[in-house]
Amino acid sequence: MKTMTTGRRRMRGAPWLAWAVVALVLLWAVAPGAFTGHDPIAGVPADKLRPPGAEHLFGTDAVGRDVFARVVHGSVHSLSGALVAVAVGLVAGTLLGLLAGAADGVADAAVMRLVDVLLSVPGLLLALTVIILLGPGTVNVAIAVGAGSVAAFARLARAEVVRVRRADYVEAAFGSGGRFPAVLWRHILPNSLGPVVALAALQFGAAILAISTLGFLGYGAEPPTPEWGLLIAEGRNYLATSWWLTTLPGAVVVAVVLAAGRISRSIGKDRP
Amino acid sequence: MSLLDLRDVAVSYDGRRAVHGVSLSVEPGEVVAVVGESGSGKTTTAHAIIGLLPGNASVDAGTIHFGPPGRRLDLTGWSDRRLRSVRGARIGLVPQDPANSLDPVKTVGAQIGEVLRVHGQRDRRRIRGRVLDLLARVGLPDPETRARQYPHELSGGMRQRVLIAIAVALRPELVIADEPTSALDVTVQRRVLDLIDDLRAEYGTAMLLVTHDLGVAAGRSDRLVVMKDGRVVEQGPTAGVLAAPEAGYTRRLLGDAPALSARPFRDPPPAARPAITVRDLVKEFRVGRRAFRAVDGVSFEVARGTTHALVGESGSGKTTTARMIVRFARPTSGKVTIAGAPDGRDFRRHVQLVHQNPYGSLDPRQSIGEIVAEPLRNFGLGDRAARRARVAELLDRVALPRDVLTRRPRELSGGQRQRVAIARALAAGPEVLVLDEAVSALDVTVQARILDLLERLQHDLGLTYLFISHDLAVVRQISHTVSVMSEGRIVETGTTRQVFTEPRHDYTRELLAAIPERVR
Repeated sequence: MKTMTTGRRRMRGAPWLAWAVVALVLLWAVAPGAFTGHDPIAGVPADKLRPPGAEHLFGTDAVGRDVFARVVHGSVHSLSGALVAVAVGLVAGTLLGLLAGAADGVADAAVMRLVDVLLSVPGLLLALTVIILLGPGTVNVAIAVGAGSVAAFARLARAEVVRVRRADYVEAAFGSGGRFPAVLWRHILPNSLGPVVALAALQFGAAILAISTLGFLGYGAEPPTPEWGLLIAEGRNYLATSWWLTTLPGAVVVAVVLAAGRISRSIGKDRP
Repeated sequence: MSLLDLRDVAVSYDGRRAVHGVSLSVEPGEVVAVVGESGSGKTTTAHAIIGLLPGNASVDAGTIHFGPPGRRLDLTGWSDRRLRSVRGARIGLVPQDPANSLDPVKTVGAQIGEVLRVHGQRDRRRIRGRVLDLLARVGLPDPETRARQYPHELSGGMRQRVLIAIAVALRPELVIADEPTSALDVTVQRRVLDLIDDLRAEYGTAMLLVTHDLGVAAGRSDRLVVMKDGRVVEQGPTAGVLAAPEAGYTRRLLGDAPALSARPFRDPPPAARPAITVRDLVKEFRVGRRAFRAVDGVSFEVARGTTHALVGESGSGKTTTARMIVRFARPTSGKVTIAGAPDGRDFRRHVQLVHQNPYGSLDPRQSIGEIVAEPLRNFGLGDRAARRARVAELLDRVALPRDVLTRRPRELSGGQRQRVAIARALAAGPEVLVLDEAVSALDVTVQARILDLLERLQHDLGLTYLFISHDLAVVRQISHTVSVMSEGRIVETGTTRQVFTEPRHDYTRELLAAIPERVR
């Protein structure tokens, strides 16, 4: 019993593995050349469909391109896309939530009913709708995925704002002569952000997944861009003979998504 | 031979020692009060006896013996399972918080019946009969109805009676009462304590009474155990300890307890002009379709530079009145005039509120320096350097060291936090301070320091206080004049001396009867 609880506590205390995964992927995005010498776009036809080995860590694809190099070079597309998506969701959602929570009354009800409608539509469907409006492309996909998470951010931010707004220290701030915008900015917003930041980390993982999904469906980057979802989609045709084309990039996506979720949970716990 | 015997019991939380070798004993039929401030280890000691410590705590040393000769048990190191045969049947527990100690989804009758069932009673009709007996015995009117009610349908005092019924259901030899009345109003508190006394006399039960309230301990116990920092600093017969305390800490505790130290009354200075005038104040709330009058025609005056106390039990409307005075709530009708107070936002430079709970009233993300400087920033008083100087001056005023400037509220103790809240209230130079139960959440020695501070500030700065409190002993110490509130009305107003020595209203008399002998 005792060892179990301490063991669990240690796991909870240090998500170092998760941070390591995220750090590695970030490094890939910043300096892909340091991790692989192969070209992600130009292939060597003679080396096509090689299984994973010392020369090609993740094997090669049908035109002889190194899959590991494609994953490494592709990280920048997936990460920046996810970042944009989270930024869109975080900023728009938090603003909406803050407005709703602080305004009360009719504005609150209107915003939250809108959020209810957004939440009732499946995220992927919503993202597809936005893409059809905006047209395909890396940035548009990111915006579409971000738009899908606005509702979740708005609802959480509103709940936090409503909770914090009732706190004694907020009343004390008004009692100290604070004007509404100042109190909102200085006290309510910082104290409401904890869970929202945790959700942002979680959404980061979800966004990578959603962007990859849309890439897989062909709405994202154009080939031969080494985007993760596209990589997996291209490998699909060779699933029977060359498992590594889908499995290994897929494993990278799974690792990053899990790491983001793990970090999100630790952020949620650390905050009071 | 004593009924309960603790020898050198030591308890630690996560390896950190909280109780260092406590020894105490309880004779059959005796009431032993364990007193001490929060963090002194008194509750931990009580819980160690019946094995109700939280999972991260462990009893490291010492022995616990319980029972009369012949049926004597060594409870030391017993498993949870074995202790179950003792809990309830031979040692009853009255927990601290009546609001959270009952299961909200079970009827009161079912919860009392559960104790009987767990300990072997199977006959439904007999359980039912016994439950009704117990409910009647603890003084709940109409037991048949009560047994079918859920906890939320009962008041705090009634819930505490139910908990007492559960504790005494099996006529245990010992009842451990952990702050049994701390969450209750004074008059309810007295009735509950009287009930416990009656039951004790009737069943011959011994009691271990854990309390921070020296007034309660003094009035109700045969022997007193004083704890501090996990150690027993003094123990002996209650009368003896109160009359001639040996340990320095006990003396300080007794000196600081407003309930036990009769200071002279503060008489109001003659003919001062009124700083606060309240006329026919009414506040109505809508409860469903009906209007509920929380404040019903309240009028009083507070002279400049004096302290006026608003006394009453929970629900009497005193906090609502205070909120209307500081303009956090709008009166339904009636008028509050504060002499010299400007309208609009500048009103807050003149009138300040200090909240009850120093844990909730400070933004956890700001440093103490930022918190105290907040009113200065809001009103644009002084430049950066001037503000910093003013904050330092304010910290000196409330006797806080300069190094708290960069710290966060959670790093400070309750008393220090309340000082910060007072410093913030003073920052913009107000003339009227409304203190809503400002010392109620603090330990007695801390409370005494804060009251001294308030008195000194009033003297130095000529402040006018409106002091909201349920604690008559504190009110007696700090206020010049008093208004007693009950059900939204003021039933009696006068100088503190008049109200305390010649109460005219029955309710005031009842309130006064509930506080210990010495200060009356």
